[in-house]
Amino acid sequence: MGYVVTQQALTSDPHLAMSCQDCHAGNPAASDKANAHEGMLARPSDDPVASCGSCHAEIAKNYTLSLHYTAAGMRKGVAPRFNAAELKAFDSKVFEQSCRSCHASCGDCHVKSPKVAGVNTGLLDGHQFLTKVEDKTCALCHGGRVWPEFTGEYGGTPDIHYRKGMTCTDCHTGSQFHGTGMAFGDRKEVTNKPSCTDCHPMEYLGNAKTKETHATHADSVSCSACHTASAYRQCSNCHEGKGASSSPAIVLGKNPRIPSQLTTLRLIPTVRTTFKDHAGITMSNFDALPNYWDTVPHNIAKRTDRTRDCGTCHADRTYYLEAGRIPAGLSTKNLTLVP
Amino acid sequence: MKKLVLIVLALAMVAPVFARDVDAFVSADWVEANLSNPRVVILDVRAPAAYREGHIPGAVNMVGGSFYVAKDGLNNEVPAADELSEAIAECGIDANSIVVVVEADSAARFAWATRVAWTLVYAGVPNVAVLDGGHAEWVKAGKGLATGFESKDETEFKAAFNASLIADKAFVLKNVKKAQILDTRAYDTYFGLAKQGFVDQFGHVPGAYSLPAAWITKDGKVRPAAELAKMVADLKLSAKKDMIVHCDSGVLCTAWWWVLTQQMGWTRVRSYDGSAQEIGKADSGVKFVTHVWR
Repeated sequence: MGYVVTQQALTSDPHLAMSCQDCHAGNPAASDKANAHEGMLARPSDDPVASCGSCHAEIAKNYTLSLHYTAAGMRKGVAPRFNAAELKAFDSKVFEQSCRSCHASCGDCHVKSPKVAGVNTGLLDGHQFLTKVEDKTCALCHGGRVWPEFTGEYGGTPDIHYRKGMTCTDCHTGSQFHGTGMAFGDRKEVTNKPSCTDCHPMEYLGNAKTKETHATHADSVSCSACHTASAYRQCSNCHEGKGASSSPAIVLGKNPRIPSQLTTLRLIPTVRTTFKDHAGITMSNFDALPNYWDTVPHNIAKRTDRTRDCGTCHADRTYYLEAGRIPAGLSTKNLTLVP
Repeated sequence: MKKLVLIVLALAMVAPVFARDVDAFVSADWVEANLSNPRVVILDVRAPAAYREGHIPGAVNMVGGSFYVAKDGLNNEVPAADELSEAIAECGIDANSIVVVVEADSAARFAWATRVAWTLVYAGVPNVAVLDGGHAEWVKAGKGLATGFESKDETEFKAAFNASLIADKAFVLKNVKKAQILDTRAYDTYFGLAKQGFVDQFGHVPGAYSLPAAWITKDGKVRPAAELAKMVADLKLSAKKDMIVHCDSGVLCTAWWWVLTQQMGWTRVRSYDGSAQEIGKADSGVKFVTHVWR
């Protein structure tokens, strides 16, 4: 068991030039624990502006509007299913108490791994302030789907970018994590998220045949529809207090946000009674939203059965969403996504 | 006298019957002495984050999952030829390379190293070794580490699969009563007391020999070659007959495949990557037996 703050850390990490109480408050002059901890802040960066913002003012201010901090995407993703009264109840009983408890403080990514279901893996490396420890930070909150799909830990094919040594921050930049000062409703609205064509401009990709294929499909098929290597998680049956179940599959259907585009869809587990048992909230407008949403599975490959054989889609429609395979009782809106 | 004969027999079986430019297992000292050998490629198959933090100087990184993928409902299959060729080429490996596979250790990760090594040999890279003790041994020996990422010039490597090294379901069904079936899973699994969730049947293929992969290593290092050869001799397995090695999903079995073929020189051993996950399915036509030893 080593020290939380080592001599080496004290000399190498400029944050540790400050005293403990500069961030954690409390009373360093006290001689007993109870008095020393009076007013102490265990998680000072829960208020980014008042803590880290004293030195990193712009980043901290922007961060308070970022999705990692506001968790607004969780609300927007379900709000249209409620009428006004139900939404009010959802906001007070569920969003503020449950969804918002997931919001990340600065320290959750830079000092200590974030808690997931009440558990975390502790300090990243003593009390040093670190910038990039994705397997202990990003991987915890995004460990149900994205990280294990990216690394192949589900038994799928690791993402080509991971195979080449890239990790989260190689594509998702600091300004995306911290926000730009704009308050977005969900991640799809974010304007500075990475795009495949940032690094892979289609006009330069591959041989003549590849260029022709890309040009033919560019307006009607997403990159992920063809370049998702293997099955990714489809989650279903989420009931409050009982959790959800999942199974792997590739699902291709109409993008609910861009109906003219065929893309990879992920089954989102909300069911009609998700908030009924414990919160007593019904969803009068449940059918306003589908259960399948466009997703970019993080297991990208250059070659897949779709890139090798046009017939996978054009003849066999192998992964196409079919009305008869949509789980019973889900939103009727799902039918609009069947290609 | 009988014991002496067995030992002599075991030692005789250790001698490879085919030419190799590198031993099946190499030490950290060997790796250190060969770091500047232009034919040698140190292939670190740990996660990129671990590699970045510290690796053998000059080693390239290609995460192990690039060499075994989930396919057709099976956990660890050989990637498509073009994908695998590209991964191998990107590591700077060609058919003339001497490749040293480095996993995290030779305990829990040992068979993952041999799985990568088997895949390379199967794809047409004949001179492959496994670093005995893995990265942990290199660190324990106090040898230097490099950080960050390193790469080698990409080669033109194209996989040329050697079909005699692999067993598929059809081959197993055709030979299940003729070939020596070597079950490399733990004793409990073989006997039928435990099984993986993804395997349908308890127990083992009728007539299969049990030789757990976990016995190959001890305290994080590979046991002496003579000891391993004696284990094989004690089971009265024959190099002159076809053998199919299997486990649950095609990883553990490559550990014994590696010892038998690359260290002992046996030439009629096939690794079955579908393993019990495939042949144990209710409709496979093979009914496992439990609570019985061979």
